[in-house]
Amino acid sequence: MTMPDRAALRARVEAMSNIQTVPQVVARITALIDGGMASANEIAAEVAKDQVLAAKVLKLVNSGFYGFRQPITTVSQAMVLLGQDVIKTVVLTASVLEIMDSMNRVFSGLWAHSLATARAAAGLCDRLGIEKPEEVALAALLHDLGKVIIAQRFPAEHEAIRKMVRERNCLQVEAEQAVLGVGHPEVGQWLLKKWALPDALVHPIAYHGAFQPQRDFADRTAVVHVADVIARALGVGNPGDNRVPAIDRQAWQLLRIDLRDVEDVCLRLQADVDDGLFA
Amino acid sequence: MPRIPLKDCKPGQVLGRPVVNGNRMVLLPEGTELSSKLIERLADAGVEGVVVSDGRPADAEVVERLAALDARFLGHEDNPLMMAVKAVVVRVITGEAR
Repeated sequence: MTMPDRAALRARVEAMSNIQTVPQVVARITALIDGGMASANEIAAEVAKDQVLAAKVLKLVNSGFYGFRQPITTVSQAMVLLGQDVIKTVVLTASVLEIMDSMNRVFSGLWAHSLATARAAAGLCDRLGIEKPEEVALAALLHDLGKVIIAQRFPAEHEAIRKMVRERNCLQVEAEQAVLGVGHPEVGQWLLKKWALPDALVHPIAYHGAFQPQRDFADRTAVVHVADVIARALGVGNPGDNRVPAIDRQAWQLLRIDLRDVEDVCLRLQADVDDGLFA
Repeated sequence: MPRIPLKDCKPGQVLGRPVVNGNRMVLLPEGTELSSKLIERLADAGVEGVVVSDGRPADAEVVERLAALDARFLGHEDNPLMMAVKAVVVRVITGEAR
């Protein structure tokens, strides 16, 4: 198979029409929130008007992402429990749920790996006092978005990547580089940029594999990077390969993290596993 | 050990893990033998599923997980940080860290 042209690949990713309508719904809700005048109830009412979106919000809050163990049945209940700051992220996440639905069609266990990385990221934010943990957790949840895009958009190459991972026991991203000339973090970034999502969300996804300390939001990126390693180390879900990438030294130092933090986050994640959160 | 929906639970099955509520409070300890009354109570408490023992000794699962862990960390032998992270995960898997 000859290596496809990079610009052509990007154009094909950006042309993914089935998810391009997402930002319109998001824009309406976020405008309401950013206006600052709307109460949680008004926002809940706006979300509830769009039945598809409301269903997605409820599906998300009941998915284990937020760790609720009792079913949440109404949008306003979800809003009250989560708090206003989190609503925007919820709406945004709910809007991209279709992608997550398709995760386990890429390979079994990708959803569990993504959810575990999100939980580990939330745990790290809590331990390290990093702000807006729900946004960091969202980035962690979507960090492997590029793997989904590659599988959907480039099925032949996806098969070749899977075969190479099996034969060489390498990281999935190494096989992606060899087959496509580009890895899933960058492919994910193409689509997220096309959606005009903020860098606070895009950067942690774009650089979670190859940490770049000089970029904006490096602390969030470092959290997603370490959370990915922790989820893989503990063996929760399936990232597509059977290797644990090395923790980046600069990411480790930036976070001023130590092994007790890692242990605490591992224990929380194991408790989530025992509670059946990823089953 | 398999996690099964509460509706599929049968009296006589033994809990492989404690049943906890949303606040991580233990409702029933590991090793409890389920009766139809207990299953009813769990349903009333909103519990949807439990982990039941598959009869294998708990050690077998730990040994399996440790072997898989070794495989995942191949190639990091000269990386002190990764070896230290691996040691943490070993402690979590064996239940030494709590």
